[in-house]
Amino acid sequence: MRFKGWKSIFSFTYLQQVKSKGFIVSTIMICVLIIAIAVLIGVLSFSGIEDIFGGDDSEIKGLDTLYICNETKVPDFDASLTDIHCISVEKSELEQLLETVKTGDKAEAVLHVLYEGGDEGGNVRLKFYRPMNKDAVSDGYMEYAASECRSLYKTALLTSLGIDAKDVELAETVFSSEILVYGEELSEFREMLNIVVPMLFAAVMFMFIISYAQIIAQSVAMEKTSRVIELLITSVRPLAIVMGKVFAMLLVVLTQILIIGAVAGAAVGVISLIAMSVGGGELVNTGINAAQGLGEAMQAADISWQAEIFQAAPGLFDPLSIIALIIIFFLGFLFYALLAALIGAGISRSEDLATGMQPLAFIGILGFFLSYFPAAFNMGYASGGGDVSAEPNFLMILARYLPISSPFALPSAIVLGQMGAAEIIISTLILALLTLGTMMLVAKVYENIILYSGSALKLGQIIKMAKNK
Amino acid sequence: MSLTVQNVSKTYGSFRAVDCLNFDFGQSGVFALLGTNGAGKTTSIRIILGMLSKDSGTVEWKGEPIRPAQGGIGYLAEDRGLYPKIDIINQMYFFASIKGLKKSRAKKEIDYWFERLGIDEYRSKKADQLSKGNQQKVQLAAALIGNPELIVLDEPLSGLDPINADLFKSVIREEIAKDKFIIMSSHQMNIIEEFCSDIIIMNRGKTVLNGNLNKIKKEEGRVNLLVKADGDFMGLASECGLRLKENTPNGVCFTVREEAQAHALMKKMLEAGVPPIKFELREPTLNEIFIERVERFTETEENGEKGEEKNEV
Repeated sequence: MRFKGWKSIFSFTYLQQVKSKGFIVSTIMICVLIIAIAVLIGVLSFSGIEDIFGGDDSEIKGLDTLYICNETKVPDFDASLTDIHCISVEKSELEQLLETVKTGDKAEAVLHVLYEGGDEGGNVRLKFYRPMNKDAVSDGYMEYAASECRSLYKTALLTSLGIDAKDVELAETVFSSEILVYGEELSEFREMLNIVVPMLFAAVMFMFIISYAQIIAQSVAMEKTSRVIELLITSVRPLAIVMGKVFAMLLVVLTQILIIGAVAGAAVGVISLIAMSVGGGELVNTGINAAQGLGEAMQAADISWQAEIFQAAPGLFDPLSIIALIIIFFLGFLFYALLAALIGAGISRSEDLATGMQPLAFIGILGFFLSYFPAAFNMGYASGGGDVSAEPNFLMILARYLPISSPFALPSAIVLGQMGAAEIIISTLILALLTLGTMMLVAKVYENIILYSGSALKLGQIIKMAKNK
Repeated sequence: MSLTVQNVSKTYGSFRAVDCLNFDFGQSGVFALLGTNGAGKTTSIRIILGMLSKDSGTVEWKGEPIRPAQGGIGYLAEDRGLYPKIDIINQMYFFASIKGLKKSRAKKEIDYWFERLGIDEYRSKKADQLSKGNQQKVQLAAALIGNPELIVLDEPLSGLDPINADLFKSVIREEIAKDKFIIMSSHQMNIIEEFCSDIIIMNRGKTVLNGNLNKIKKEEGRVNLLVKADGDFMGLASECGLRLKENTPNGVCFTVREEAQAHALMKKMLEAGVPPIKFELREPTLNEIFIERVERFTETEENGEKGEEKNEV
């Protein structure tokens, strides 16, 4: 009987909220932003591939003729450039040729290879001269040609010194170095995930929980200040009103997350499909890597991104972890939303709401900072060349157990598989207890303060009222 | 079927908002809850509606203690409230749904009340686009939807123009004809006199007067004498021991202790050749009863407080 009528409040609040301009505008804006980012990533991926990787040889044919003036002792390095017509020229012809190429519209360029320095050492320079008209030869083609020539020259040099082809290949191996702790080796990709994911999750959870708590407080205060509440509570108990409202808002958040998720998924899917049709299967991975901003790290790790994500974020693929994520979001939302409703109920004039919400905003921001900045501290620690960031620091651990911050900090820890089942249960229980306490506080005082009129009640005063009751 | 309120009290901190309120609203009709500002009327209404918990006493409706949000009650609050940015029709469906009405019945009732109150054209407008009077009509419709047996109207006619006030009055009469129990609170005493059979007057949370309005008036007696004549009769009135109450273009009003004083004045005026054009001996108005009782109560209270202070000294 105590909750009779909550369904009416729930459905009314939900429908009005999803029809509100605020909801529609914010959802569209976020979706547009996501689509814009996806398109940008797609464009960057395509241009990157065309200009840097070049795809296949057919794209290089744009450069028809390459005049080569080679002043060094390394012979015929251009023999391997089968797709470009190479013509050797003498140094005496060079100046006139450069003038011709510079002003011409043909797809041709000049390569001047020269040695700078004395007998004890110096540099070999490969100077490429291209036409002024960029339509004749694009930058991407020139960069490709330069890169190929540089590589071929190096190979030809090594071969001329008597090194065989196998050793030449070995000599061209890329060397890299990294500092690791035995047993805790992480790829650069995972290190980055350990830093980025907590910050991202903290920001997203904070945005959804606190902004919707604010909307709940506004809604309760509006009903009270406009006196609609007096009509409502003749048929529905205040506690049923607040619970109906909070659950409706929870569904509104989930609706928004679903819409944004669907749009993000569709955007990535469409970009991937376009990439596939334009540049082949490799482009898909490149696009997604770019979307994650981690392509280089993954290349360095030398494993496929799918396997890497599976290893780095096991929580995304574990049903129990996903259930835990939903429970934590639900509890965190409930905790902040109920407190916001209490504050809204303690307001008699709408202009007092901002002042009334300050303590809750402070608690929320403190919880967010606790979840957000320890990840940044970890990044600083890792980049300083010390221990690697896999181990959470004290503030990260504190954030996971403190109920004001755990809704923002726990999800990323679960997704990254950084917490054991027992730790997750303990942390969730602490949050659940505080949420239950908040519900009891609401049940105890809400019915009295909803009809209270006077200066805005502070959280401390509300708790005192509950004690005195 | 009746509404019974027994020994209801409510205190906020050290302030006693309602002190031992008692009344029995046993027959359908209109019961008036009167009082000065801050007398405890709104608190009493909220307790009766189950919106507010009481410190002591009982409130029974149809022989059962009234429960919070029990439904079946129509309430038009003094501080009117609608969602400012939501369509009127959606609000009405919402108010109907919290009263437990199915959509088909809600539609039927909304259509009826919108038609009856002349607000059908505003159904798709937002509340803040409506005039105050039209908002009040929407609120009356919201109070009456669901055909409640108990209706509480707090200042129902305040702020209405004469045409809309008449419309509201006719709706109230229709509800009376349907044997509804209506509690009305108003500072417009003429409205109360027009509709109410029983009244309670409150001051500082306490009951000053309680009972049937006709009975109260009868008990007060015909204490007002209104006289109008062409000649001067003030000296004659003085000889008869009449106390001047007010002198208006409509005549001179005297307070009489007993009806014999009025008879004596009539005799003297006729003997003096000043025949009255108007000579009316009448009961006090509710307004007069209200003012007189509240002032008397306030004096008694203040004297009591002074007495207590003296004793303490």
